Amino acid sequence: MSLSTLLGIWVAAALTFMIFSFLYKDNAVYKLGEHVFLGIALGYGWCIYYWNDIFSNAIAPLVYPLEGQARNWTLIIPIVLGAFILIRVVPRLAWLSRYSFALLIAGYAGLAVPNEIAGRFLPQLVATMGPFGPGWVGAVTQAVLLLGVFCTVVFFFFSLEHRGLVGKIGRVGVLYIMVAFGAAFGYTVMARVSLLIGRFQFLIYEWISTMHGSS
Amino acid sequence: MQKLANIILNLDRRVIYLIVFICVLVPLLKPLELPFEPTQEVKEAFNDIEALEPGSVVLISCDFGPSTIPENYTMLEALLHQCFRRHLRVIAMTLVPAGAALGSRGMREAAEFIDASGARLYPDLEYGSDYVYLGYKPGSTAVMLSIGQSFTDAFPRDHENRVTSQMPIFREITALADCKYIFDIASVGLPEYWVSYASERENVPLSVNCTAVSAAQYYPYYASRQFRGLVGGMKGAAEYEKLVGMEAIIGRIPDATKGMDAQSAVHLFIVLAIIIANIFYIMQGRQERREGEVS
Repeated sequence: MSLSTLLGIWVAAALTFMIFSFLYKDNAVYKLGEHVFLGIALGYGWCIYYWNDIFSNAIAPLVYPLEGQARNWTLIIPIVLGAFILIRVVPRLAWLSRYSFALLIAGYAGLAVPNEIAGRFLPQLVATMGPFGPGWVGAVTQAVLLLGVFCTVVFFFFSLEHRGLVGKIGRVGVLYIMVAFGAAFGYTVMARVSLLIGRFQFLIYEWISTMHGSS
Repeated sequence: MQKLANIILNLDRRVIYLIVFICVLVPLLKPLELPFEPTQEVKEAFNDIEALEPGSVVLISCDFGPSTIPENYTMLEALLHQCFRRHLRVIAMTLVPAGAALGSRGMREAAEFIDASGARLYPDLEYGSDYVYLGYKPGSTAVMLSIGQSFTDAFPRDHENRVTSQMPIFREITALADCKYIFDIASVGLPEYWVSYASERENVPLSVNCTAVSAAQYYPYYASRQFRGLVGGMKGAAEYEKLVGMEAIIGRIPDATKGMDAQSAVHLFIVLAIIIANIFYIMQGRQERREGEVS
């Protein structure tokens, strides 16, 4: 094992213990770990964004074009529009950013609306209103699904007072929502335990193993 | 009994943390090897990949960061070994900045895996022909739409700054529609976008490995067959490892499988804690009502 790997493992283990110390109570060591994490995450994020976005999409095609390719001067337009967004810090010129935002919102809406309707909304609607079956298990499953969708939609329909029949249907909708919350919460517990297991696996199989040189 | 109820209902949270720690630690040190069987949604993702013709291209998007390594990285390892063993070609990328290094590590470790005999497990694999790692590109949906037009336009250079247009794989595979399968390994909400902006648009089947937190919200997509398979959390990854036969490939119990005993132990403790706390809660309520009636 190289010295840098060894050092990395020990630093990671130390940071893990620093963060775990919060479970006992808030303390200075935990705060230090938290700040180290935030600083590193910000620095790492900035580097990634610079090299993968600013450099590769804006600087490289203009300054360092690929062999056999001309400089892409049209990129100056999005670069200027991007600069307009940053220029908001100057109140006198903040109005310039409106052009960039207008283009951004219009472009994204134009892309999102057809893709979301065709790719998500309609296929989900078709699946919800699918045929009853196959077999009686499939028919019951589809009926439970349809009932759930109907009752939950009624619960979120606020133009009618939730009394009488509407209230009763809404209560069934609440039951469906509760089941969904229960499932989501169960899965969330499972996810958080998985992360704890991951940290323990790191401490046992990587950090402790460095102490007796088994890896 | 009243005293016991008071102790249980006012238990210091640190005692619960300690018990959870013990429940995780003991099974990791002394594995119980509790049995588990792959579920239908995991089997379907696995069977789809198994059914692909050798040479087909699978696009893997490594949309996860270090915080979900136990749930996602384990899945990436299993999926890559399955692809390489089946002679499938892999194009990998990420839409999450924190996933850039992890995706690269996963590809390298699987492609250059050294088996127990000290030889490379996949000696014929060649970077740029059989597998490529494109790295990170910001813009999520814009990138998905862009690879629908051209991989090399969306990613002129790969993660290591190599020119993609010179790679043999991209002479044949120009855009997303040329891929036979998309597998999104995600800790964030990107699978929903992969459905709308890639899978449905280009008619390429999609399977998803997500964190357990997100699994519940993705079942409608599995039910509508927009996700061909759904591998949820570390449990799903463990099931996938079992189907791929990771233990035989890497010569030890794989990480997600190893964690399942600890997961079961903590779940058992949580279930018991909920039952016990509720029993004492009901008992205390009755006691208070009785005392109220007497006074």
